[in-house]
Amino acid sequence: MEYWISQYIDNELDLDEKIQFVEKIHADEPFSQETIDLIQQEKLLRSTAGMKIPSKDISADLSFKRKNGRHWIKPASFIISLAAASLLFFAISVFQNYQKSTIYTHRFVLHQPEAETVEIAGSFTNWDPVLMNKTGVQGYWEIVLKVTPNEHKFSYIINSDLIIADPTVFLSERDEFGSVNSIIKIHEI
Amino acid sequence: MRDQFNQFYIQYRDKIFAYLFKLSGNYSLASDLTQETFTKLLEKYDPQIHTSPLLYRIARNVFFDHQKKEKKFDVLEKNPVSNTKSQYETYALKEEVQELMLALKKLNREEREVLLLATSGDLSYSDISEMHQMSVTNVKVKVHRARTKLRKILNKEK
Repeated sequence: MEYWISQYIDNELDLDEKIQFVEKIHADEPFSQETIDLIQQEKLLRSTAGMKIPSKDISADLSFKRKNGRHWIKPASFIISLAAASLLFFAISVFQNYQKSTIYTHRFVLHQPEAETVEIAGSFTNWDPVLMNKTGVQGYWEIVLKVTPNEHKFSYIINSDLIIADPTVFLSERDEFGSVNSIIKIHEI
Repeated sequence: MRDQFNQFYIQYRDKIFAYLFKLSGNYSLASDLTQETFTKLLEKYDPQIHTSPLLYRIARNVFFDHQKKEKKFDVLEKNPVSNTKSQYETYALKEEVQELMLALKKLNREEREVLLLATSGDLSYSDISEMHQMSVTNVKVKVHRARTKLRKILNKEK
């Protein structure tokens, strides 16, 4: 029973143990006080306030680079890379010109009066979280983003922790990590 | 596949950063190691097996690999972090969290490790027992002893 407080905090007690634990809480005042103290301490231990990863340190959309430059580029590889880069640059230019004529804006609104921060991440932000703006005092958060005419998936991130779908969007899907993404279709006008 | 990874990243990036920050007590190091953790996950593991226990295991290994290198090459300062609260004030941590960070440094390595894994909220005792190659009973004992020891340290400092 010595370790039950921790097992209780960590959700490791089975049902029979939970019954005995509650009985002990009622019967043993020091045990009860120790439980409360350790739960208070746990709130601190689990606090992530001020512990958000600096976004500048993680390059956009996880285009991570190896930190130690151990890989030397061979001359042949360099020429091939240069040719590929030129081709890619040309393709991107063509694609951007095409995109310029087909980009629309969409206003996303969410009601979350208790939230300290709300971010949106979706296929139109390359799944990079973008901070939404709090509007007025009614607890609404909004942002206007550029979107291409297509089907898009997105979700909101509350306090950098909880991921939720848009409750006003009918279409949604559950991914394999248990999060639900909303689905919107932007039609070309 | 990419969308799934990004979702996974969004869900865990701050948690892994907080875990590494509390484990190392070093903000910029935790930031670098978080990046390295996700890079390793992406490069070496099939997306079908991306799970939170795997992610924490990589983060822990990345941290200890860093510590080994530090000892081997003696690159970093011997005592990079002084035991004062002011070092954490820069990061806008609440005063009580600053005290907690300092108290965590007074636990021994194993105590700090198992406690931080348990308090991540993402791992069961069984996950931790696999990571540390110890029995679940042993994890149970060590987690609780670390918690009560931390409480004593915090109470003494009040």
